[in-house]
Amino acid sequence: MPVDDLIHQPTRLQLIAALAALSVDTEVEFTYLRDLLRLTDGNLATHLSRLEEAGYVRLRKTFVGRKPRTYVALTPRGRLAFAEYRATLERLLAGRWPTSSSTEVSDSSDQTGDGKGRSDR
Amino acid sequence: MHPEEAAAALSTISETERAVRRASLRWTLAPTLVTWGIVWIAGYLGSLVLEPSRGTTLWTVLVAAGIAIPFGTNTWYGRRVRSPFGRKLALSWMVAMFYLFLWSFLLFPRDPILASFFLVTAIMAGYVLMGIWLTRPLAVIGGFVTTVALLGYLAGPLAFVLAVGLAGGGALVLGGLWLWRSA
Repeated sequence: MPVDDLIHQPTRLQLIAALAALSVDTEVEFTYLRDLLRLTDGNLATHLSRLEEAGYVRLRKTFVGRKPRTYVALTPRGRLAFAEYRATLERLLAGRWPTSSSTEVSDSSDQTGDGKGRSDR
Repeated sequence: MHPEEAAAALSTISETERAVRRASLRWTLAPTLVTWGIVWIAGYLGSLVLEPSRGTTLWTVLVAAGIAIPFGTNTWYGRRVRSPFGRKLALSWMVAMFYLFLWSFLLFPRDPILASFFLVTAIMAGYVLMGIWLTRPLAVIGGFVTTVALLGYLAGPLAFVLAVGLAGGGALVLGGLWLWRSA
């Protein structure tokens, strides 16, 4: 069973972990995530877009007065994918998973599997 | 994947979870603790030096500030993090406070020290319970202030006012500042 590459990327991992740390059905403002994780608007938007395409997060755009606001929430699918990803890592560390290619990331487009691909912030 | 990489990813998850928790405490609990600490210090010490009618006015103003300031900071944070759990927790506190004030006035109408002791210890029971469920420092603060209030009450009215005003209020301020700085 491969590790979910979409979550494994460090910035997206932080994003999903932050959303999963909040109670179910919580949605957070775009700027909250940006400030908490110290990201730029563009970087955050790019990663959120990829997570939204995968159905892991839901974006809701609204207006408060004339100011646009974007809220982000983890979907049930995203929560499940994160739980499975975390469980896989814990199994690996507990020695219940071989360190061979069976735990390679599912998509090597931005991951090398040796940690070098974990810097595309 | 190497175990080192898995460990690094799990560490990232833990650090992020801590950051989320700290941000929540910083913008919700810390301002509440500092505000009510100041309210207690000013209210109890002020009631020692002011005439009773002015003391009542002082407490009215301070309690209004004690409700308004945390309401403002929590509302600001609640707009950034919209949580059904957070709304229910805030509503539960408001309901509990309403009943506590009601009971203290009905049960101890002619004994302000006993009414105050009842209110302080009941609120601190809430802190201890929240400490058990949410964050341990709250349980420590709740336990400390309860002990101080009890000792002060047993020692007499003046000791109670000084103990809750200085030690109790001071503990709330310091606890709030500690939560703010550690966030």
